[in-house]
Amino acid sequence: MTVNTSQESIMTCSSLGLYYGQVQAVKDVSFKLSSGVVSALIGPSGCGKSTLLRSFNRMNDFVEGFRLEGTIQFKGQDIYASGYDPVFLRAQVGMVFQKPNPFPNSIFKNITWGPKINGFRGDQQALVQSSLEKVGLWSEVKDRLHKPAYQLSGGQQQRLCIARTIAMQPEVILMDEPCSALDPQSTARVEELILELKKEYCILMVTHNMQQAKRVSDQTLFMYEGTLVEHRPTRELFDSPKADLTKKYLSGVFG
Amino acid sequence: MQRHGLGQNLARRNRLDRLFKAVCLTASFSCLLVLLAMLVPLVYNGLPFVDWQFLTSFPSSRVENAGVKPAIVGTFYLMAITVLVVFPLGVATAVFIEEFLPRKSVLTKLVRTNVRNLAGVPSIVFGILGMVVFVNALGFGRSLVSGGLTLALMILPIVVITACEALRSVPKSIRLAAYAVGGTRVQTVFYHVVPCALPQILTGLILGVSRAIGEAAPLILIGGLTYVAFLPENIFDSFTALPIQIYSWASRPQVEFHHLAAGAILVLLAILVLFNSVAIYLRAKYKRRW
Amino acid sequence: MTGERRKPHPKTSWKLKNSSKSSWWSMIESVLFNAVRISGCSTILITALIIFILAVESYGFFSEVHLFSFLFGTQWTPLFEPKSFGVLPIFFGTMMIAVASAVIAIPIGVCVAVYFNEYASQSFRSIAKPILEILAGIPSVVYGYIAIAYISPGIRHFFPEASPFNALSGSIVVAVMVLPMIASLSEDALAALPRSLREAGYASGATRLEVVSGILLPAAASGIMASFILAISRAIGETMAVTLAAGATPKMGVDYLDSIQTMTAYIVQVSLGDVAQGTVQYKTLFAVALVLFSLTLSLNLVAGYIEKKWRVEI
Repeated sequence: MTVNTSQESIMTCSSLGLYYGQVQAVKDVSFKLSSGVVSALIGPSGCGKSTLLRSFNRMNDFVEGFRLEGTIQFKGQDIYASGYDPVFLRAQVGMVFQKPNPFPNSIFKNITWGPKINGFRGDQQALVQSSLEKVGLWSEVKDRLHKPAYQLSGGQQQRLCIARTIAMQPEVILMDEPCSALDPQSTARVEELILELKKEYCILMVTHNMQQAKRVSDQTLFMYEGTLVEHRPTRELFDSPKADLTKKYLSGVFG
Repeated sequence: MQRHGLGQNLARRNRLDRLFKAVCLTASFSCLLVLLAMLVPLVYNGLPFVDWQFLTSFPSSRVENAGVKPAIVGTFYLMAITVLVVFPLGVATAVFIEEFLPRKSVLTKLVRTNVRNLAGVPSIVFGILGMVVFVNALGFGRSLVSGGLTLALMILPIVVITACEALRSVPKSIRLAAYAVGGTRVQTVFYHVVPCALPQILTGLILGVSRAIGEAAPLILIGGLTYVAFLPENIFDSFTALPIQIYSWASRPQVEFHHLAAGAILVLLAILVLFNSVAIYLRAKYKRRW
Repeated sequence: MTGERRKPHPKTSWKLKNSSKSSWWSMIESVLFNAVRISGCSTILITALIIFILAVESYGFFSEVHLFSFLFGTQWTPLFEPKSFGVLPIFFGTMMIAVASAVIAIPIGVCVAVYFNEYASQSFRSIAKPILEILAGIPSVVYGYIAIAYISPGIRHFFPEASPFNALSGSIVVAVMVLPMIASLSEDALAALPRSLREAGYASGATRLEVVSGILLPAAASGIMASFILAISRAIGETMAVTLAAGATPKMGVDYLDSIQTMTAYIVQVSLGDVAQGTVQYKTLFAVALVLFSLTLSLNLVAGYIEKKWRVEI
């Protein structure tokens, strides 16, 4: 069930099992992620895709009772090894959430906070400008950089969150249903942005919108009840799914 | 891909983080330590004095003979009067605020703010209120009824606030159902809403009374006596109460009286524990069923 | 099932009476209705009475004692000759206790709130929270006794020059009394912050300390600051503990090892003594109580304002 990638993989997981207490949310999942590739995680609700995504930047550490089997490696190192610093991991593996969650500060501070605490000493104005330009927000907000971020619309806030993430210059960007709280117009803009971003970053995106996966991703991973059922280049998975479950899901037998 | 050279300062940041966690943990533990540091000497000094003779004697200038009987009796009488007054008054006030006043109007806001502020008024000011209104103006004198009424007024704000929350937490659907079968507002409120909210209201009542049990300042202003050699015979009689007795003994210079005070404190704490256990039991028993 | 309409059973059918409420019931209704309305005004009546009483009696007081010499005088000896009615000494006494207890309780209270919210496990919380509630529920006289019996001797052990009644022991017990209030209100303020805010902070590669200090505490600042002000207000109104612990000697200094008198302790002193009604000494009760009431009321109003208006919208 693996896909051949000629590039070197940045993040891999092998034989991954994820548990909340006694309940197993993810069973025996293995795959690789590489730079320049957008991978989409699709599947019905409750199949474990968000759990899987969050384990890649150790956000599940905050859930009581969370347990992991197998390994996840970032740049060759096991991120759950006992000496590995999760803070450092999160500075290199960024995350965009389902509901836009800007800090209750100015747009400027939203972007500069992460880099500053991680040791950034360069030109903050330039950093803010370049991050906002990359997400296409600069022209819209350049006159109100020091106004509260909450004054932006939902779509703008989500793009700001993406700008905040790329200001950290991560190697990998994890996206947890980034467009599900947005209107169709903002969704289209974010999708355009993802296609731009993939040139520089490795992106893993959870989505429950199959069309979105088709539009945006290079590879698709289909999960069902915690297992990775199929993992193929997007075109192939959608045009000629191999597994029966995949066929059923794609044709809407279950949602 | 260029990176900002991040991660240089990680060691220092993680060290600060660990230090901060240790500080917070110490702070939390110190609370436990403080409680123990208070209880242990209290029990050590006071427990030897608490025996049946202590519980059934009158105070005396001779330490061996002193007891807390009138104080215990006074405290119970006061609590009875307080509860009898504050329960209906508090529930009625809460019903008024929640059910009879419009949801959002200037008057409603004023009333709510007023109740909240009253809850923060020092107890001694209530003592002055009670002294002027009950002892002097209404002529009840320095009696149990003055004391009970004053304490009732003092805890009224707390009882009203918890009762309001209780009423607010009753789902709208219950009210609508009652109206839908032709109930009037009064019927709906008193047959359905209040009974639904009753456990929570009772919890608030008990917590308010717990507070009143321990108050000495307002009672001193009312004229609770610090040395009584009799039991009150009716509600217009003069009285004493446990907090006053404790204060009286603790303010004496002799150490033996301090130990007596410790004993009286243990009795008071025992009564408080009893009351609060009832509150916890009620809270657990009537946890929301919908 | 046939098409016939079934006849209603005689025992289970009833007819809705036109005026379905009997006159007896409607009388009860109107009694209850009016009782509720009257009770509803009870809280307003209480506040009005307090203000009225304090104002009227203080007016009488200020017709005998000049307002300025009351507010700014530095000698408080209303009960002995030569009489002097400057309230500053007992006002200072109150403020000494309030400030010191705030300085002790605020840092500890905030740390406890942060620990409960961000670090503590469920089992730790289930033990620690009841302990805080117990500390909060212990009566003031008990704290006063503890101050006299254990804390003052302890202080004198380290500072032999301290007097048996001193402001420091009073401040320490008042700090313990207001600590649970600060901790629980601050914790409520932190818990009200949405999880997404925390996640945004952690996902940017920040340590716990950085998320707490850089994002959470500023976002919850309005509630936390309000809790500080309410704690100070509570410390100002505290009576029995400071009466027992801090003494009955009004002074103008800031010596914490010396005995002082707070406004509340003065009120207790007067009411325990034999002061005749109508005398100016008797009226000092009301003047001092007016100061106390105004102070705590203003602080509570400020706290409410801060909590509402400075709240960061999320």
